[in-house]
Amino acid sequence: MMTAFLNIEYSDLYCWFSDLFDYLLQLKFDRNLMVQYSMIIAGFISITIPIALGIVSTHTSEYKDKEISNSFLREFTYRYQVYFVLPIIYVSIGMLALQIETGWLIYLLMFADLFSIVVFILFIRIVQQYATNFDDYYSRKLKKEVDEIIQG
Amino acid sequence: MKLFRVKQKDKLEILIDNLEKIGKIAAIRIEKDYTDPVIEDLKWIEDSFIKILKLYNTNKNLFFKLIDPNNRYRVIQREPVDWENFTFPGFGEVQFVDETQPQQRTYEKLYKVYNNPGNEKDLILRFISSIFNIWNAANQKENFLVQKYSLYVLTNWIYILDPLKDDDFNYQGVLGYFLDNLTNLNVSTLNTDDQKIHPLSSLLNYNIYLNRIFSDEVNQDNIDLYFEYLFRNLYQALRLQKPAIVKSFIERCIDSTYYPSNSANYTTLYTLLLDKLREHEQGDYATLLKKLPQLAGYTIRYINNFEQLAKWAEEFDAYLNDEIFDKIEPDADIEQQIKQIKRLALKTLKFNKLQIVVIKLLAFSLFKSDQTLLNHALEYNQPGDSNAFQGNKEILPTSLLELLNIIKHRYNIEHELFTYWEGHHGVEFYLDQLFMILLYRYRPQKMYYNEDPRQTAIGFSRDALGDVPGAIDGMDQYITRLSAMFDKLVEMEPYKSNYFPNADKVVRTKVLFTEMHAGFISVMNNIEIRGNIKEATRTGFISGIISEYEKYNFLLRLYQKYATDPNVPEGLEFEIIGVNELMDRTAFVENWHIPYVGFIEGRGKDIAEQENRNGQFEIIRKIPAENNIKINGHEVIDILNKYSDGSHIIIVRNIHLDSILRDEEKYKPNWKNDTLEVVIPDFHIGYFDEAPVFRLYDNLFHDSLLIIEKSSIINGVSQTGEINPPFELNGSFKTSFIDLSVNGPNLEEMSANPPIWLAEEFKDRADELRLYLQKKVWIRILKKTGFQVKVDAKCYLYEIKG
Repeated sequence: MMTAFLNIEYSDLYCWFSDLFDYLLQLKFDRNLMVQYSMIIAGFISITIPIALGIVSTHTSEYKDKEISNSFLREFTYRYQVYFVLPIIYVSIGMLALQIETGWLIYLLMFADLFSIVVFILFIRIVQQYATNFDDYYSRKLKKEVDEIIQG
Repeated sequence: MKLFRVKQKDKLEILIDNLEKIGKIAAIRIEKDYTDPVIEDLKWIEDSFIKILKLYNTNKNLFFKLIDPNNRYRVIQREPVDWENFTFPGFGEVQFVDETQPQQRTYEKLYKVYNNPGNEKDLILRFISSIFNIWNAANQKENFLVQKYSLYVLTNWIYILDPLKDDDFNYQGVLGYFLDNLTNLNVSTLNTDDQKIHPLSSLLNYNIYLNRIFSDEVNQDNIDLYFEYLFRNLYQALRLQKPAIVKSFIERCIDSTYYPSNSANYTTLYTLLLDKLREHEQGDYATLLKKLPQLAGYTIRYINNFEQLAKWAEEFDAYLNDEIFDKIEPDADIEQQIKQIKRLALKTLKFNKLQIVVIKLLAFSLFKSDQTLLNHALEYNQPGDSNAFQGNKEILPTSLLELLNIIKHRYNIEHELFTYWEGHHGVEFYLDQLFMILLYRYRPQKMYYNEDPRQTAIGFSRDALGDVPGAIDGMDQYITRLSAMFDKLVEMEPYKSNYFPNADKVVRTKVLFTEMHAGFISVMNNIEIRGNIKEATRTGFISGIISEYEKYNFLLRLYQKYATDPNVPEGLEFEIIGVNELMDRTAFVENWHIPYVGFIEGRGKDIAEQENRNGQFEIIRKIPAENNIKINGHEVIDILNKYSDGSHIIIVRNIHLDSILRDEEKYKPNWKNDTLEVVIPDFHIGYFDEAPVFRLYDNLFHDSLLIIEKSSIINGVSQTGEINPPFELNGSFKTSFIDLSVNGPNLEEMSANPPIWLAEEFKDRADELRLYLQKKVWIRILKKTGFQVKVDAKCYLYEIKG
C-alpha cells in the first residue's frame, strides 16, 4: 500500500485534492446534512463515554481509594461532556420537528459540533493519560495543587 | 445546580488528602517496580515539608494554619504578673468566670479528636505517614533504594528541624514528634520473628542520633532529646530480641572518635598563660594559675549535664576574665586553646551521657539474663598495662574515676530506667550487679601511673563531689552497701559461676571496695575536722534557739507583767537554764545536711518550758494543802465564777476551755473579741468576767486550774551574770560557740579535763579522745532565772479528777 501511494503521480494527487475542494465548496449547510453529522458526532461521543469509563476504572480501582477512583468523574472534559453533547441532540431534534431549513440555528449546530469535537479530543487525551500513565498524571495534578497552596 | 456543585475543601484538607494519595500512588508504583518516579515523589514530599517550614518567615498565618491547627506547638506568651502591686482578693470576693470562647476550647476539640482520631487534621503526621507508606511498600518489595531514600527524607527533616528555634513555636516538640514516629517505624522493623537484621537498622536505631549528637552543628538544646530516643530505640532492640543491633552500636561507639582524648589541652593553655605572664612580669604566676588545672582539666571529666556545663563555663570565664585577663591581653593562641577546652568539655559531656546509655542497656540486658552483651562490651577494654595511653576508646568506663562517675549517677539511671523497665521492678538490683561486675572486671592502670583506689576516691571526692560532705557520705554508703552485697553474691549461684568465677579477682575486688571506703572515710574525717563553719551558721544556730525560746517564755513575762516589786527581790533563788553541749561539727560544716533545724526548734522550746515550770513551781510551793482541791470537770465553771472579780490570775493547764464554756456568757475569748487587751500573746486566751485567763499545755501537769491573786506576785528576774570571752551577750542569754577542731586552750583543757561522762566513755581509749573532740563544737547558751511570790500568797490548785 505504501509503495502504491508513493508511486502516485503528482497530477493525480492534485486532482484528488482539487476534487475534494470543489466538493467542499459545493457543500450546502442545509438542515439534513447538519443534523446527520451532528447525530453521528453525538452518537459517537455518547458511545465512547462508557467505554472510556470502563477503561479508566480498571486503572484507578487498583489504588483502592474512593477519591482516586472518582477522580476521573471530576475531570472537566468528562464532567461537562454531556452538557456539550445534549444541545446538539436537542437542536437537531428541534430542527427536524419544527422543520427549520435554514437560519442561524444551523450555524449554532455547526459551532456546537466543532466545540464538542474539540472537547472530545481533549477528553480522549485524558482517557489516554489515565489508561497509559495514570499514576504520573494524577500525582502531578495532586502535587500542583499542593504547590499552589504552599506558595502562600 | 447540584450537578455542578463540587465540595469545597480547605487548604489543609487538600494538603492532607493529596499527600495521602501521593503516598498511595507511590506505594503502587513500588509494587510495579517503578523506582525512579518514587524517588522523585520522595524528593517532592521532602521539599514540600521544607517549603511549609519556610512559610514561617513569609506567611506566618498560613504556617500556623497548616502545621499547627490544633495549637499543639504554638507557645503562648503570657504577661508576667506584677506581684509587687498584686492584691489578693478576699475569700468572699472570688468569682469564677468562664471567659473562654467556644472556638478557644481546645480541650473540647482534643476530646473530640481523641474519640475520633481519624478526624484530626495533622499535616505533620500525614507527611510522616506518606513516607511510612512508601517505606512499608518498599520493605515488602525489598526495594532497598526506596527504603534508604525514605529514611534519608526523614533524617533530613530532623536535621532541618534541629537548629530551628523560636519563642512562638515549639520546634523541639515537632522534632520530638518526628523522633517518636521514627521510633515506631523502627519498632515495626524490629518486631518480627525473622532473626535477620534489617539493613537499615543501624541507621534507624542509633546512627541518626549519634550523627546528630556528635555533630559540631548540633543544637545543644536537643541533645538530651536525641539521647533519650537513642536509648529508647536500642532498648526496643533488646526487648524485641535483637541484641545484635546493640552489639553493633557498641562497636560503632568503640570505632568512633567520641572519646574525649585530648585532655592535655589545659597544659598547653597553662604554658601559654605562664609565658605571657612572665613576659609582662605579672607577679606570682604559680598562685595566679593555681586554679587552672582544676578548672580546665580535672573538673571537666565530671560534667554530666548542661546545667553543670553552663556553671563550669561561667566559672571558667569568670576566673580567666577576673584573675588573668586583667593582667594580660589574650592572644589568638590562648583564645584558640580556650575554645578547644570548651569543645572538650562539651565532648566529655556527650561521652559521659553515651556511657550512661550503654550502662542502662547493659543493666537491662542483665535483667534479660543476657550476659553476652556485657562480655562483648568488655572485650574491648584494654588491660591496665596497655601502652595506648589516652588512646583508649572503650565505651565502658575503664578507669576507677570514670566508674565512680557513673556510680555517682545511679539514682538518675534508676529513675530513667524505671520509665521503660518491664514491670518497673528490680532496676536497682540489676544496676548494682552491673556495677559489681564492672568493679570485678576493672583492671587498674599500671603502665603510666599507678591507679591507687584510695587516692582515686580522695581525688574523686574533691573534683567530682566538690568535697560536699553529704555527697561523699552518700557515695561511701553506697560503696559499703555494694561491698556487702558483693560478699554475698560471690558465694551464691548463679552469680558466682556466671559473674565472679575467679577467686583471686574476688579477693582483689574486696580489697578495692575496702580501699575506696577508706579513701572516702579519710576525706570525711578531714572534713569533720577541717570543714569550714560559716559565721552565719554559728550565729544563726544560736539566735534561732533564742528566738524559739522567746516565743514560749510565758511565765517570766507573766511575773514581770504583774510584778509588785520592780527590783530584784531579796533572797531570790536563781536557776540556770539553757544549753551546754558538745555537738558534731559536721552539722555546721558548709554543704552538709541542714544543720539541726529540728534541734533549734526543740531546744528553744525546751528552755522556755523549763523556765515556765520553774515559774509554776514557785506558785505551787506556796499553795497550802487545803487549797489543793480535786474537782469534777463540770465544776470548772463554778470555780471560775469564784475568782472572776479581776483580782486573780487563772492559768488553765491542758484544758480546752472553749468547749466547756461555749454557752457561758461571762467567758470572752480573745479570738472572738478584737477589742480586748491581749496581755501575753499565745498565752493569754481571754477573760472570764474580769479575770484574765491564761492557758498552757504541758504534759508534766495534770489537767488543772492554777489560780493566784495578782497582788501575791513579787517578780520574775532573768540574768546572764558576768560576760567574759568566749561568752557574748545574745538576747537575754550569754552564749559561746567553740570550734574544738581549732587547736587552742579550749581543746587542750577539755582533752586534759574532760567532763565525767566523756572521761567514762573514753576510759579505755584515751588516745582517741582528742580526735573525738576535734570533730565537735562546744555550744553554751545560758542564763539564770528566778521567780518569787509572797510567802503568804493566796493561790489555789484545782485538779480535775480522772
